[in-house]
Amino acid sequence: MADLVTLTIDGQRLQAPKGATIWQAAKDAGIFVPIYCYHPKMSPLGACRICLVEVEKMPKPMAACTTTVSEGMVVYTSSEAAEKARAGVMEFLLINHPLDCPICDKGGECDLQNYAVEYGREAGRFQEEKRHLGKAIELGSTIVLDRERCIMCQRCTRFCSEIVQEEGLIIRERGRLAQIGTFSDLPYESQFSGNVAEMCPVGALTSRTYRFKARPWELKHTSSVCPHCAVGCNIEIDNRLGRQVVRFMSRENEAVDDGFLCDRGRYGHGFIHSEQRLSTPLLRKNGRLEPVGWDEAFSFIIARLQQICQQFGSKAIGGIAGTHNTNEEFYLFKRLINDVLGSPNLDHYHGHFSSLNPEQVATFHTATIEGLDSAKLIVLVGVNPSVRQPIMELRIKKALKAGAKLIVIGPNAGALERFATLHLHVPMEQFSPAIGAIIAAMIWRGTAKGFEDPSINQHLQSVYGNFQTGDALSHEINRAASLLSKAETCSILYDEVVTQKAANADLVRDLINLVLAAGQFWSEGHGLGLLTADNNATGVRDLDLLPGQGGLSYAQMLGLKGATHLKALLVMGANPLQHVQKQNKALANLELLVVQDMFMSATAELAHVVLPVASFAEKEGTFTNWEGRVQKVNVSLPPLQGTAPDAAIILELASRLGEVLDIRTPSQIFDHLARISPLYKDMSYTTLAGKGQLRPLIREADEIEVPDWLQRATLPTPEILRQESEEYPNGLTDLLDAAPSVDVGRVRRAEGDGGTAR
Amino acid sequence: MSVINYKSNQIFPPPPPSGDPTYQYILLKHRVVPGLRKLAVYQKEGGYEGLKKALNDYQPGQVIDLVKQSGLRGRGGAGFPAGTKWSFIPKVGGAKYVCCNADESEPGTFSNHELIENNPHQLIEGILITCYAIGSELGFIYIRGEFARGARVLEEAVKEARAAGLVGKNILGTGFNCEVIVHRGAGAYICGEESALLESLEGKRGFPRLRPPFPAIAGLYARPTVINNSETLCNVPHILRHGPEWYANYGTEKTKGFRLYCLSGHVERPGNYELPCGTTFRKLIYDLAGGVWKGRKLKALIPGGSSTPFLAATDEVLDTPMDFEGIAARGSMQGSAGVIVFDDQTCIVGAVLRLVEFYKDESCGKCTPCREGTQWLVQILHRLEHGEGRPGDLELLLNVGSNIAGKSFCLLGDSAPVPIESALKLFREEFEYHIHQGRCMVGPGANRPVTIGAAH
Repeated sequence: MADLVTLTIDGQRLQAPKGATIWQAAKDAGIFVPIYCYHPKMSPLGACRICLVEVEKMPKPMAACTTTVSEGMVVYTSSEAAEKARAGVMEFLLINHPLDCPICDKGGECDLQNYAVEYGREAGRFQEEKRHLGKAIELGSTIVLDRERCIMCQRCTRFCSEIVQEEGLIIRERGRLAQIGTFSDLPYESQFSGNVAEMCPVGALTSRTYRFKARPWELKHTSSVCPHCAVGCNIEIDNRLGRQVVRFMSRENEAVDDGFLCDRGRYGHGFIHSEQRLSTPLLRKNGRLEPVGWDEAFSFIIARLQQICQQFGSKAIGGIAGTHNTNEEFYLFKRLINDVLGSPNLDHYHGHFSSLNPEQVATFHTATIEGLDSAKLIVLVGVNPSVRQPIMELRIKKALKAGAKLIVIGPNAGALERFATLHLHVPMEQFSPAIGAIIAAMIWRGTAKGFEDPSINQHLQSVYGNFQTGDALSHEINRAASLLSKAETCSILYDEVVTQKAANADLVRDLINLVLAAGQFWSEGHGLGLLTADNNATGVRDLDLLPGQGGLSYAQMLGLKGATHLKALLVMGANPLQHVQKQNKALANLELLVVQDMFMSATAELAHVVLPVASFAEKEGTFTNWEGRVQKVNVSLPPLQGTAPDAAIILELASRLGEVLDIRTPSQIFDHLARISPLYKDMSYTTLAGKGQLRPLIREADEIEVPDWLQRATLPTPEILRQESEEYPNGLTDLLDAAPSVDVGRVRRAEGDGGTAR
Repeated sequence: MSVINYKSNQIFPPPPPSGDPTYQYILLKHRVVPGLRKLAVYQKEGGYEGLKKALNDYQPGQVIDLVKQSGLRGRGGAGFPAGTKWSFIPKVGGAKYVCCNADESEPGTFSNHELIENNPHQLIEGILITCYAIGSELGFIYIRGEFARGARVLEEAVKEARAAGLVGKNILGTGFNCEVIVHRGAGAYICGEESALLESLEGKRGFPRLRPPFPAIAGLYARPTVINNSETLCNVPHILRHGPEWYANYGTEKTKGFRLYCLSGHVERPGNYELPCGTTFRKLIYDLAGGVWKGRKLKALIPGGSSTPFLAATDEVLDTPMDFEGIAARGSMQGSAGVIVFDDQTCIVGAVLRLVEFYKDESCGKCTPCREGTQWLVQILHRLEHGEGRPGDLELLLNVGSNIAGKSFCLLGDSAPVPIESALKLFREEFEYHIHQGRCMVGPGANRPVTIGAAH
């Protein structure tokens, strides 16, 4: 518990933590003090002076955002002196500010406008010539700058220097001529650029995609979750007059996104209104996909399914789920395939986790996003957040700024590379041996936290004690071992995509051993973290959309393991063809291929029936992000005419197959999941609103017992490199350089019809 | 009247004999010893004796005590006791720094300029002693960018001193290591403000920093740092060499020693005058500098650089001792001891406009009141000066000024309205004349034809 000091603000006696600012103390007590330059995520600046308050015994008004509270302090936020100071600053801010609110995009949601009404004079005293500077300057591909409107709060420049820690916006010139710009007029290009427009308190920085599209009072705000990667940043979908989504804004959730969005997420809303969206079911007639009514499409599917069932049995039917649907849709899809159709052939595109079942995967991955803030060491194993989970880049930078050290293992860590304390340039096939070598080096040191536990010590000794490492890496391996041994708390993150390498099929085993050695086993918030690319890749695994007893796997269904007996394949929100050769016999030989998607895809081109579905903004449900936080998306718009949510399609198919599912709505389904699944135990759909909820930690026992399968772990030797595993021919060459595949496709398609930037 | 000869050692004319036969040049010794810029000459004149004494005879803490005893107060403007400032440096391991503030940019102040260009070793010796006292091994001289010659002279001198084993490793065989780095600013008044100076020295934009933490705790590169004005540091070798009692003999009770008074404006002999602290204005202006030029009368003076309020030309003011307390008692400040003299032909409106324009140009733009307010003040004053004043302008000026002073981030904003407030107090009728007549009440501007439509 932090020390508390007692102070008085506006006659109200209150306590605030030592070191807190007057502004924070006032805010916590419900007393409003206006701010412009202050931003909770950045160091206090004290530049705008709008927060001046009177403090007893101080000769002059103090900035509430920079003055720390002290015992017995007496503060007045609206005394005569405080109001004079504030009115003076307000007047100064307005003297050079253009009176163009009616044509300013910020008008209606502008702090300057709002506080001017609150604290300004009714008439100005400034009768001189206003300062004139450039207007509507395009800083880069996303941001437009109006220099006259700028009030020099430096939020944007500090965002670039303190948070992104990259070259970006700077102040040019001095004094009254000071203006925001870039060094040498280079374009401002950053994948976090949209944030500067959002945090700009005035209309100086605006987004190109939103300029002149709407007025704030026309917007309907809907809480949602960004669908573009597995971080699950909280967003607000702003739609104009209930008709068109015009922007995504951050809906701050400190535990996830810290209030920032990447540009891929922020500007990735064009697909919702893309003209290329499917808006009618398509049925293959005479070799061509032709528009048909929903009834005809359903009738065709049901007839074919029944025929195949009769002729070949239910095992001739398979289902492939995507990684973008809601948990509730996954549940229904699983019910459809496993229960209604009675087939064990169900899978999705995923990584490999040794012999772990989904429950175990969730159990052993204890790292959280918030936990990174307190990590003393972060280890990235084959992770490139800059491309795949951009907001994680900022979160890791934040941890590094707070003093954490960074070890990068693998070929490429994007923008984080230059921050690495240690970079082990290990090719992806060598991850296991490299990690084994680090553990061996830690055993040799014997000082790591994990070795205090005798059973862990014994286990690691028996598995890695005799492990020899090559000389080339020895120095770096030793440094890594030393850093890991010293770190009190440590988060080890790896990307699911690297486990798709055959050599890494058992990577999770070595990583868990590393976590054991580092003493982070079953830690709350630290330990192992599994990054995925797609927004609900975690949910689909949690819901066990995997082959049942004797069921075909993803690769088998796609014919990558030889010919199959599969005759019908239902695909929900996936494009499996991207992982196989174009000339795919297995898919071509199917008697029924049904694809549910928003857009045509390579797989849909081959389908017998294509069913158009609603976007995430048009439906309700939950997504689970990579750390296991279940978050709710809400309906911002009704489904595009002619489309239906995946859930409705599945329910209709089930009922036409003669089985009316009684658990139907998202809330029913989720609450059901909370009853039956240990992963979502005791969670409830209603409590998910707002900030979402982290999956409960499952601990098998209070004391750590090394699980059997870990004890049986084989020594990572070069033989492991030759081990067979499911590997897909395409898409593995530059895994870490590739952004999530389906989304990029969607955004790009949307871009094609001029819907959005980027 | 004085022609500045950049090739000579003496760029300012020496004042005439001070009338005090016992007083000898100490800081300005270069005026009587040719070639003092050279190490050999400096050493012949007793240079680096202070350093030798400090290193051989005293522990670092004792050096701080000596400087405390001497009563040396900072020459930059605030007058904070130098020894006390040094004693704030925590006794922790790791890097500590000494920064010499040689950014001298206050209008009316030019003492550092002369000291640096003519007697660089005096400053370097002062820095070395200060470094020793606080346990630092690195001193920086942040020199104003425009002082190209001064920077060259300093670099030359550091090189010379290094070659002689006075800078670098194991100085004078005592095991004390110290480097001195000369860093040129890029031409910003704000970088004379100590925290902006540190930002600039770190390679960042010259914006003042938030305090706390104070530089003594987290200064340059977030390490404990002492920042002193060049003139302050130039005093240090003499204190060490002659002892604190000797130093405390000079000056007044609370302002010890001697300092350079930078006399400029409408006087017969402007220049730097080295005088014991507490000498009166009358002695400086009339006895030493030959009085107001062209036989005119004294109208007003600014006692300590452009940031200090005007004082009227009364006998009471002229007989005020020039020390921190004496001038404060008259309602102004000792500041940087830049005395600016105005004759009776000066239009105060024009003078004030010129002064406030300086602050507008030099405002760093970080905080709202200073950035926007200084511009507004200049716009109003500009109108006034050019015969376009309006009734109510004076109240507006004062009100805008009061919204800047005390509301801004650093002292630059506090200083900007100072000339206006003090001039309006003393010469309000001249401002009103400008509003109503559209021209100056005194001086050559009084004969100017009235701008059409300007007068009310």
